[in-house]
Amino acid sequence: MSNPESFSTGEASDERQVVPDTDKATSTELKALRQDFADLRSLVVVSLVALVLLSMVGNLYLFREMMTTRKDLATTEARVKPAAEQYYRDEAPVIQAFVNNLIGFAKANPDFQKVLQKYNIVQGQPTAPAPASPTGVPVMPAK
Amino acid sequence: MFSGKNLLPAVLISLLLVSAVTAAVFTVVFIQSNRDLRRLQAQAASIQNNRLVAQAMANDCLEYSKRNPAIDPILQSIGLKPKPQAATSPARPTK
Repeated sequence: MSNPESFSTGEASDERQVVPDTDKATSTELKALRQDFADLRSLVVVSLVALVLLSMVGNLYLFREMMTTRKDLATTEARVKPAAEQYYRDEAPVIQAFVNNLIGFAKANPDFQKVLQKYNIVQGQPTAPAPASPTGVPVMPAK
Repeated sequence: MFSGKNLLPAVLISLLLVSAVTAAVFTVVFIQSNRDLRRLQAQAASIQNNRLVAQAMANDCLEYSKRNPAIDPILQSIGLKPKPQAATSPARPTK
């Protein structure tokens, strides 16, 4: 029984001459393989083109978002920075001094503490306690 | 695929790589700008809130001063209440 895919060898004993029996079948397979390869290459190229287009669209969107945000940042910075500097330089110290005065006033006038509690203003931090003495009188440091 | 005769896949892959790097750069810049913008907006909101609270507190203090004028010096120090005008000097008698 002859095997279509088998090869016959030549009559010389020193060298074997491989002669395919199925030239036509091999060339057909080769053509099919080449066609498959070309199809795969086209598929890869088309996929790459689609990926490049998709990434370009994504980049365009990111670029627009980035530019919009940077423009908003520039506008907000121009508006907020001078106002913040003026506030922290001029208004914040006055407000802080006002609050401190009110805290001092509340210590002498307990009925005012309700007003401070409304704004969750905590009483000022206590000063460092004097050393305790048996009589409760502050102890002067020894010379 | 990357034979000398057919450079199209290599060119496309290069384009894709450049596009990916560009997208990464855009994303980083966008995130940083957005973070700075949010920080500034929060700072502006905080300042506005502080002003409103201070104004409300001043109004409450003015209301309280009607019941207890002892608070008036504090209100006068920041201009919430006008300082009392000095008594006018008596007119000099004419000869």
